[in-house]
Amino acid sequence: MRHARTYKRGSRGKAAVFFVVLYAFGVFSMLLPLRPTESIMEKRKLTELPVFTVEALATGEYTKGIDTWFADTFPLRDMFFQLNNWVQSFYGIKTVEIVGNVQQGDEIPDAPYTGE
Amino acid sequence: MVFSSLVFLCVFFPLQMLIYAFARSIEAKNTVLILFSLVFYAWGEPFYIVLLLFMAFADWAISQGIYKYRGTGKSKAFLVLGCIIDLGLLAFFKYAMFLMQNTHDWFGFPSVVPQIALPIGISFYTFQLLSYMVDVYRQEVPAQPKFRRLLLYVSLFHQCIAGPIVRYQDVAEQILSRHVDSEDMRNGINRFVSGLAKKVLLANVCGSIASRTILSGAAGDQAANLPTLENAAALALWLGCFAYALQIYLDFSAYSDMAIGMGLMVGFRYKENFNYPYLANSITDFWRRWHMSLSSFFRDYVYIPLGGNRKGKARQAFNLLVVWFLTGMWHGAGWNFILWGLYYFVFLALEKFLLPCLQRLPGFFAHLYTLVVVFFGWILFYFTDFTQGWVVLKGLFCLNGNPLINFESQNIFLNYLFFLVVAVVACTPLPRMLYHRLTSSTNGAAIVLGTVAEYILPVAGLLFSISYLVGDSYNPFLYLQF
Repeated sequence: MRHARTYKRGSRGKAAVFFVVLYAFGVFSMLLPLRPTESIMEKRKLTELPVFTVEALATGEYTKGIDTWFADTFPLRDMFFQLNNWVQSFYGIKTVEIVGNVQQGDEIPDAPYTGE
Repeated sequence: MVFSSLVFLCVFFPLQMLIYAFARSIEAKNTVLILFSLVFYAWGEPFYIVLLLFMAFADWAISQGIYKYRGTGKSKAFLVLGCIIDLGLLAFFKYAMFLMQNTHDWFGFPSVVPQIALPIGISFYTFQLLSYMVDVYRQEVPAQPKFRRLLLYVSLFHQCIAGPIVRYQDVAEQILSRHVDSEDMRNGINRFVSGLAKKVLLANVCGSIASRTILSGAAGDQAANLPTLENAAALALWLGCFAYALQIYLDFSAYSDMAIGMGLMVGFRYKENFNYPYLANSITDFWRRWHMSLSSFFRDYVYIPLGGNRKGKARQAFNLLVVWFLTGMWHGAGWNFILWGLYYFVFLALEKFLLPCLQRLPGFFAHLYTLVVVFFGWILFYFTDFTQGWVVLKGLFCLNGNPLINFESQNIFLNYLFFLVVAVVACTPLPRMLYHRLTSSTNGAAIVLGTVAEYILPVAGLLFSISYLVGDSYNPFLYLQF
């Protein structure tokens, strides 16, 4: 009962903490100077803000482009990337990590090629 | 726009909540929700917003006629007109291309199949509008005199594009008056964040395991996929199918969780859509727990009006057949979806008429039987291309001459071992029970731990979800296509 009362009383504070963090993320994400243009970790140029055209807006390409740009150039991108990698390190046992598809390789010859 | 996009999480949702908080009257609050809902829909479908507005307006106007002439033949004529418009548009946008593709394949007509884009969420909002008109016709609710209020019901971004299918009578009063206290807000936040984390941290990863092991399943990718699927180790195929079964539940129930949570934050109380379906002990039980808003829609608007179980067993079996054919069709315009619906009809008919003992199996065997049926059902659901589905089905039992296990499949299994355990646990009530136990304990240390958890968990869920979304591009929403 004591906890139930405390729990109910604390609802406003708990909601406030969540919204403070949510709005902090919101403001933080809008700080354009903090948005990177290239990723050092991935060694690539990040997506650019799409060019506005009426046609792109009508087909949905413009809003799709904003979604991609917004996620790809998120401030402190590499830090979030590292955090995500850290979480992924707990997914299982990683003795060997496979990136891409495994394909049958060329057969290793038993002896040097002699032309026969 | 989807709930698990960074634009939604960092801009759209905070802005909507902020402006909503400053709106004083209920009309002002409703206007804020309508405007944001239209932007939300138009963000993904700038053109088809017109279709949504047209259907809402047409059904609003028709419902005035249904209500005005209630109890007369004219009322029925208005209802028929409304159903023709709604079902006609749904048929055109969702099924016309499928139909033409089949007539093209069989008879060569038309020579070129036109491409018709599927408007996002059309299956959901069409069913909501249909339920509204039928309820007005049945005089269960009066017609809504103001168009903007009906538009709010139909377009509300919480549930417009991926459910749950909310009945008008469940929210009619809340559209006029609603109240949110701090506890609703806290419960809404918890529900929203748990849904977000379930979607982003679990469903997306399950999806990437599935797409890596059983590939896309689409007919267009047959030539590229078949050699890989034929040679894949059985372990990889089992892993892929298992991951997909987890993904589809976690993904869809997460969307419902987020919708219910956001609804609570602004005073809407939507009914539950899932009740731990993988704990079901029969197929009948599974469908009482899976996508409950769709099952109850078909029960109330198709099965019971057809006569339900009141006209003998043969008629009941026919009614079930109609419902499950439609359930399959609703999920997609493809033969695999229709077969998937009929597959469930067979098991439900077996449980009801021929082998009722299937519903009385002892605990463990009942769960096992249900999970096996559901597991193979998802294979049918996943592969729109039957050839690939058949190859995978055979490959699961090494009937393609494929190995049981190989280096790649063993590595994928080990790489995701702990993750899969967590994903399985997330499909059970265990996390919720643990959370309640922790937060309702009267033990001194547990109170501190519980309170910290209540503050930290929603914030941590948000932080980890954002970090995933920044660092990963795999973020589909499966039920958007319906």
